[in-house]
Amino acid sequence: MVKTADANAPGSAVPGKSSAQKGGGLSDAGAAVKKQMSKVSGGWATGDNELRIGLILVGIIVLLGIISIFYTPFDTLEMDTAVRSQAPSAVHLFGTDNFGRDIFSRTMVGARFTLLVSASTVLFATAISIVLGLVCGYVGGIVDEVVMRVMDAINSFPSILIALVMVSVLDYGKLTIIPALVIMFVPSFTRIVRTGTLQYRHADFVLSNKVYGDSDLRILFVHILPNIYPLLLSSVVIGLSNAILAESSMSYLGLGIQPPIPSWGRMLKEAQDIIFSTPWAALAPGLMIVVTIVGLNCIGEGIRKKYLN
Amino acid sequence: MRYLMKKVCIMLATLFVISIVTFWLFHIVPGDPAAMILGTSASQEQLESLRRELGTDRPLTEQYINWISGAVRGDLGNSIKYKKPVTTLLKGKLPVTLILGGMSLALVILIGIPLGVFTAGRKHALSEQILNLANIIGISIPNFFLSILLIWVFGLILHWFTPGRFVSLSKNTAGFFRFMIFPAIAIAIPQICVLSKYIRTAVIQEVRADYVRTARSKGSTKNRILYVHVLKNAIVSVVPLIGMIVSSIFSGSIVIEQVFGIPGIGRLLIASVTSRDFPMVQTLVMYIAILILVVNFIVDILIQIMDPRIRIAN
Repeated sequence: MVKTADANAPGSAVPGKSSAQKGGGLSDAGAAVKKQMSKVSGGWATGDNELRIGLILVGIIVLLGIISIFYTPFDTLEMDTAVRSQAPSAVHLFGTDNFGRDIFSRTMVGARFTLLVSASTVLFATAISIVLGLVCGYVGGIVDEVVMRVMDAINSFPSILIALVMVSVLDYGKLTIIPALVIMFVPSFTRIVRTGTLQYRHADFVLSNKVYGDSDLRILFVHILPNIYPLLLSSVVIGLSNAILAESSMSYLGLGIQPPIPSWGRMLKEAQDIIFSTPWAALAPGLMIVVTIVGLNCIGEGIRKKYLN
Repeated sequence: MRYLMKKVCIMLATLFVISIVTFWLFHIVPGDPAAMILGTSASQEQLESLRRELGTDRPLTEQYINWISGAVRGDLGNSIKYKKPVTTLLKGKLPVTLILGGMSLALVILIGIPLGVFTAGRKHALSEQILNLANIIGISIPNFFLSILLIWVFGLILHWFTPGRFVSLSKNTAGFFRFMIFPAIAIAIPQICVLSKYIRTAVIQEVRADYVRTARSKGSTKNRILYVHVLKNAIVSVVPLIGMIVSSIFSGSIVIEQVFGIPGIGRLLIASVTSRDFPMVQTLVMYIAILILVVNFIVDILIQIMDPRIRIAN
């Protein structure tokens, strides 16, 4: 698999090389089909190109976020009236806003908090969904019916509306945004885990483990759950991109990450009124969001194509 | 007919559950509405009399019954912030949001479906790759960023509309639509990408069907097969998506109304959330829930009408 991937990188599309394939979990016939697909599409059909592009894009953003813990070119809150509304230059990579704050530094710190909030949201949602989904799929019956109906009801609501209701109920503080967003993601993740569990509940290996005397808990978490990982992982990655969208929307509305912490959404809000004179103030955080989400969507799509076809 | 009755019952039951949950959520919140209205300087007596007036001193179930029976009669309570009946505040705002949503939905369907069929008909062509890329970007761009870009380019540079100056429908119909088309586009673009992708997948699956081969062998052109025969079947499989798209359009409109300064229910909702005006939020949530349920109901009926296979199964 890996060899195929390398041989079909966009730059080096030499069809002959892809025959140098060793190992991998695929049967010969499957590998041959995949190889054929790679030849036709130059790596797009196997999802390798998507994975690569996605990892690079997301990697850059994550790196910026991590660096911002130790170092930013300028203080994110320092207002320097001497350099107000400056266009991007070598000193101020993304320019400065109307208060003279360095936009590049602010997007770096914004990356850290947006990623932290989104990642913890998705992490909590995944943990809850794994438990709910496994139980629903394995136990079935009335529990399953009730939980899934509730999930359907939540899902049919506009996602922002749920977040808004939660934020207003939870009395917004610094991190209220996380529980508010978690609820948005539980339904879809639960559905995925549940479907996966249903699929494996009667599989031979589960039955044999039952005969062997494994407890239900062990069967669920040790035997069934690992089979669901690829599917769950691709949804989690796409969920992460939705979390970033939702977080920045909420921050744009002033209900997300609270000042003085810079966040992409609020930077956009602040830049909106000055877009004619200083368009870079809006373009920088906006493009950061787009890059991150394109990257995550690519990774999600790549995982789906690579492991689930 | 029996199916219709069943659907209506389920819809009412869902509405009931949603109303209980919403009501309960906003009443377990710490904080006394009376104290919020009067401020910290109010005396104990003032607080108690206002509580009596608002009805918040009575048990929760009684409050709920009062709220619901009032709502059925069209009395939705009073907004704490504006000190006016909620219904008065809603008047004039609901149509704006509905028109915006309707325009977006029309754009999504009129552009998304042909686009999906077009890309499905050209597998592996360059145009497909370009559209694919556009699709990824379209899905990834936050709609409020898109709106800001639209305001910048079409409002400030090209002067096609005046940003921030909402034109009311009754005063200037042409101006209203001229203004509203931009937020509608901002809401529609991500959904167009989603819909066209689904249509494309559905069409590609349909193309393998026997009737396509039959149509081809009797000499139909490729476009006729795609847009007449295949599309009819592909659409059926994406109709269930419409419910999801409408709900996303609402999500979008809540944020976009804020960006463009459109006085619709989205803007009212945000204002109510920020000022913690719970009766208002509660009512708006119920309004939107009803709208979503009605749309889902219509979608269910549409599926019945469009696909005889499902009609017979029921």
